[in-house]
Amino acid sequence: MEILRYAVYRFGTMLLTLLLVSVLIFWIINLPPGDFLSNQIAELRATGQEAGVAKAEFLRKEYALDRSLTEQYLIWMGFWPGPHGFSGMLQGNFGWSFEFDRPVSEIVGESLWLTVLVNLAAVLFVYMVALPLGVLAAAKSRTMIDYTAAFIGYLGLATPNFLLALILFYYGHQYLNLPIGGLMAPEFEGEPMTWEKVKSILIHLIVPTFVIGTSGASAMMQRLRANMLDELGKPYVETAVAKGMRPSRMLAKYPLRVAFNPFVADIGNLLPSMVSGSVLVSVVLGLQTIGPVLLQALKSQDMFLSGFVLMFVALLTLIGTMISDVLLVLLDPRIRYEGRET
Amino acid sequence: MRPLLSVEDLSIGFGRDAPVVQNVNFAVNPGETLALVGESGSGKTISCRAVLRILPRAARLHSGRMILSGQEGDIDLARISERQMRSDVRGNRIAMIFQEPMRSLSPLHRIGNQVVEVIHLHRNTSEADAKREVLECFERVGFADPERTWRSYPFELSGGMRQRAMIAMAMVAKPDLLIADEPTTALDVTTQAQVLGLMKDLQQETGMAMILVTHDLGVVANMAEQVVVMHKGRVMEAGPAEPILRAPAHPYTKDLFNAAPKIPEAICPLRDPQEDLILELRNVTKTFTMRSGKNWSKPALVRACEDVDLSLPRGKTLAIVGESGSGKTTAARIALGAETVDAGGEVLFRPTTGAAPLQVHAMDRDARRAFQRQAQMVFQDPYSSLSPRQRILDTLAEPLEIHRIGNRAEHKSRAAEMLRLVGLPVDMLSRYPHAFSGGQRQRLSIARALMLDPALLVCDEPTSALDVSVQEQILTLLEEIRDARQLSYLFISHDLAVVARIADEVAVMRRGLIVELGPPEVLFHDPKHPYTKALIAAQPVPDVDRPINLKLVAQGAGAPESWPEAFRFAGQDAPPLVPLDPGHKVRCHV
Repeated sequence: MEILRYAVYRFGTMLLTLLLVSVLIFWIINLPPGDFLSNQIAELRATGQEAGVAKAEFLRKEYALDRSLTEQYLIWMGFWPGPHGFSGMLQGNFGWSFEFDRPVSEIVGESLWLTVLVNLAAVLFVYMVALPLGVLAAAKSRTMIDYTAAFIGYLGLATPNFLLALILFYYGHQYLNLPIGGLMAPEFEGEPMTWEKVKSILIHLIVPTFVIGTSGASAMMQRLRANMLDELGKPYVETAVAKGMRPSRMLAKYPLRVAFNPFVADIGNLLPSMVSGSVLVSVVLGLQTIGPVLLQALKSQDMFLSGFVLMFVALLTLIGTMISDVLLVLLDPRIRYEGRET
Repeated sequence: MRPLLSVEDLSIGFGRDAPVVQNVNFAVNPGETLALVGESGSGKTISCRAVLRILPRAARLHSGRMILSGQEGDIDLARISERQMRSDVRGNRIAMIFQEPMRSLSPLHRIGNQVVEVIHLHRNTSEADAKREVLECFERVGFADPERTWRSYPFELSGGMRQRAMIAMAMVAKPDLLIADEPTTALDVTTQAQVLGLMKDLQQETGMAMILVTHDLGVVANMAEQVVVMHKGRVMEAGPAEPILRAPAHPYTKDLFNAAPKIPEAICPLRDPQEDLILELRNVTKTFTMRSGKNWSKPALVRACEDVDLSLPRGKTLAIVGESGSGKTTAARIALGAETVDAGGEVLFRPTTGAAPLQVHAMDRDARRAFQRQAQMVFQDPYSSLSPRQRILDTLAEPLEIHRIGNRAEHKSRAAEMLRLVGLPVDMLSRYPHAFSGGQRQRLSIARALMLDPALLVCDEPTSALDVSVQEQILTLLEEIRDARQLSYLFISHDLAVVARIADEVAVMRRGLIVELGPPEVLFHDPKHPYTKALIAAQPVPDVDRPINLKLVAQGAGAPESWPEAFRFAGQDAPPLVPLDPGHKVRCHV
């Protein structure tokens, strides 16, 4: 029950943080002088296309860009009635992309879920690779196994992601007949989900997962190895051995449990760093994730689009942190029982 | 009698270096206790770990047979397979308990889980039966509520209780042999006495044999039938405990005896109270607020010191003795101004005879700097109190740099002078701390404290991390320096015997209260307060005729409600400190 109360409390603080973040995001997006429409109007005037100006002016009114920044923010969030009553993020209206001339939700729609998919796959990959390798490297420290694992790990850290992507595409295509680029075969784009489409997505996921996950996995492996080595030197490990436990069970039950805490705490950081870190990779790999969209939107001051993407990343971060906090409390009695009467 | 375990010609080394254990022989008979005695680096721990083959990875067994006899015949522990070692010997026939009970239990698993695991590893017992066995075992090692212990995490128990849990873990599979590696070194003296008593009782009940690794001859005298004295990896002297303790034959054993702290012999005439006080604590109370984990409940208040009145005459040593949590270290930190005091208390410091007293807790920046020059501290752990990345010269010169005294050449000559004073060669100045042993490091820390030529030195357990023979040397050094330089010491210790030789006056503290105050001779020979009596009774002395009196320990170390009428109190209504004789005060009802 304690844990439920804690989860609710954490959820509350999360919402509060999200509100603060939204203010920051909106403020930062509006830091560069002008906005997409005023830039467009200026350009249209310069080239003498007065007809377009009228439409742009209309859009300015329509999206309340002529009001003060505070009002714009409140309308964007849906706290304040805009030209069409309450219609902001809270009401599920994510705004209009001026660049693509379509609603934000339409542009982002599918790529949002693909982003989550790619990054979840990468996170799973990171944990699945880093955990056994890190533990193995620590248990067999200062042997060939350790050195080999470290070598591969550093190789993974040192290779630029986009380079790795190109190499993998080339060889993957040549020898394993893996597809190049994209997250699904072109014929499925915009189609409803079918079994064939899922299969296509899964095959396309292999290389991106590998590329995005490698550096994260090698970094995590090295840290897990260091943590494990610290723990292995502690007396409670010796106690477990003196009880007559098998080394493999002993490793999993005692030192790994303790060494694992930092990794649970890391989930929160992992998600956003992967979204922002995978922008470059997404561009190179031609993935229809949200990364390239964000890049484009920021460049052209397409404020509603970039605002939405940034909010989405922030939400992901906060959810990750919340999950890791709650997990930590579940995992570590020292946190759970802090201050309990003895 | 056929020995249960006999270790023959054991040699262990690291890599190509000279072996750290050389041709060691010892044997334990069923139901008997063998003590392996020696100082750090003597190879006692590594020899007993070799029996279970839990050695550091770089260690190699050069030679040796370790014969464990049993119903199915003898096995050589050095030769059996890892699998047999694991399933048959470790935890099953031979169990082990370690020095630090906190770190020897996993912080993330419940005590019950960690203990019952031993049964599941070695027997096919149902979940329910195993739990019943564990609960019985908990009860036998002295847990009042075994179910609660089963559910507890290690950090919810005190040090002594954790060591009881460790003992339960070792005993639950009913081993033939228990190896205890300094099982009570990390515990308070009264707790140590109780844990040792428990181990002895359990041994009598179950008839198991025990190997006790210790540096403390007092523990040996209380526990062991057989003794093996080790030094630098070799056996110096071995045989039945009583004759060796009565008349040690080997010179090294004699040295160990001479180094053991002695209880002062005679009662000296009481000295007149001296007027020239360098330090005075008046009505010092310190309350800490513990933030409560629950959001809405009130934070708990902890009184670390309560109405502490102490005075330290110039050129003398005042010792504060107490167990962990008694407030002795807080008192020392308050004396140095490192901790604030609750309103109403004050600390007065007189730098020179007749000077106007300084209020330690009401000083401005400049006055504080000047005060810090006059009052320095020597810390407990010589390993962590010296920066491993600074040369000795830099470490020693740092106080002078902070106070902007002298130039580089003067720093160097001053540092050299201090090294000579503490008995270290001057050419050590350019070396790093790792090149020094524990005792040498403590000398360095004393040298550093003396660099500013202070009038007052606060020593916080300066010898508790050291071997007995080194402890003896450091105490002698501190005495010499005090007398040569007219220093005054505030000496913090948990060990009455250590304090007895160096202190002029001793304050015994328990849970923030001074319970008895007087010269050490008086405290030893005419202790009034039950807690002081318990401290003295709990002290293991290397004398087979003076075993620990557990009854006295249990009474004095118990709750104040259980003390004899004259001293009893409940809650916060402690009786006042009453002067019985001049210079001897006891907290009791008159």
